[in-house]
Amino acid sequence: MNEEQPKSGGWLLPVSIVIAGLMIAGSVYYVGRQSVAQKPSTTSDGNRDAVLGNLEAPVTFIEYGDYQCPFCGRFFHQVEPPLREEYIKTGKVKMVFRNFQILGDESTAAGAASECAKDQGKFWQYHDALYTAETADGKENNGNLNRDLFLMLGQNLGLDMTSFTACLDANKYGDLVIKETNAGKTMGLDGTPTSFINGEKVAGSQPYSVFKTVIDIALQKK
Amino acid sequence: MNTKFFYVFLAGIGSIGFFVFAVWLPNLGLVFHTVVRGDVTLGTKLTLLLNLLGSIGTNFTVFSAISTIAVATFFGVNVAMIAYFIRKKGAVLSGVSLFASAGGIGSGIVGIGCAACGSFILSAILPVVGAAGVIALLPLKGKEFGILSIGLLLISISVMARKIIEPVVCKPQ
Repeated sequence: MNEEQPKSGGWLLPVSIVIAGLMIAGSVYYVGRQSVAQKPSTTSDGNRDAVLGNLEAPVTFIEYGDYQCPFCGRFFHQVEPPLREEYIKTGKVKMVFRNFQILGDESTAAGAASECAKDQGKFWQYHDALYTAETADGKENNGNLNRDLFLMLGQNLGLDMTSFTACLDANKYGDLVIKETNAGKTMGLDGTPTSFINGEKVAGSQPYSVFKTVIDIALQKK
Repeated sequence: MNTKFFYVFLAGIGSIGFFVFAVWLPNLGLVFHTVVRGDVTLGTKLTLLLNLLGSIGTNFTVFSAISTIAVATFFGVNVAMIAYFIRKKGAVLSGVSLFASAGGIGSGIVGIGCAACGSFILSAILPVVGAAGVIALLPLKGKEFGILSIGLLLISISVMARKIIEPVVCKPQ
């Protein structure tokens, strides 16, 4: 029974439990510190926010997303429709989408294309079209988010194609998308989608009921 | 409490505890802020906490959901078996069983994944060394931790089971 003798390495289990506890405590501290200290700006600070909904809505919902992220696609299909119907159309919530294009060049290019559409006041329609196209494809970095697709989506939405094409070909907003993405990293964001509801961070593609509860709590405060 | 039921209960509590922690982990800040707020009803708090558990179906890949549930289940079983072993045999763990138990639990915790961002605890604890970059280099993008954890916990359970049924005899030095 040598292996079960208390003297033989018996200290390792308590030590490993303590290490696991420290790791958990560290993560709790880190997450708590991050959610308190690094809330995004909800005011106009030159970041070109395209607001969906009533500008005077009491609750601001900011989503940091990537056009190739499958969980953002899930959020788009499962959370946004009831959110828009129940809270945005009724003037209780206004929504902002910010670029956190972390999955590669195609994501950055899609973000830049959506900014070109923003110049023509059709950001949200273009945003919806991009997610619809990407989720139908379902694969990351396979070349489908390309110039041809961007132009086709712009055409379908009735954009002024001369200025849209010029904007796209000049890569007018490539640097802006990278800058916004870096700003998200500086804030400590580490995944998409990440949402802020009046500053309260909700990470991931949670069920709609989670967002609904957090929004209701925010509305209750107003 | 009946002894047999106690260990089943312990396994259940261990499994559920691990599962809840893993699913809440990306939103511990939200959980904490909501729970401590005085102007939110108990019903609303409980609703939010329960609804967050639904993210196992919306914020995890099929692999990460199965891996999380498996690690949680084996974690609970392992805890109950360790408790039984220590209580009944009056010995502590060492050797393979200790390594497998501690390693399984440790890698399970490190590998708890926010599906959208890889290994969440690792990236939360080690941002300065670029944990996200390290994970990106792994062939399975962080799934390794879940697989390793399941393997180690299964080894631990198997070793514990053998030790529990093993008669208490003296072995030659």
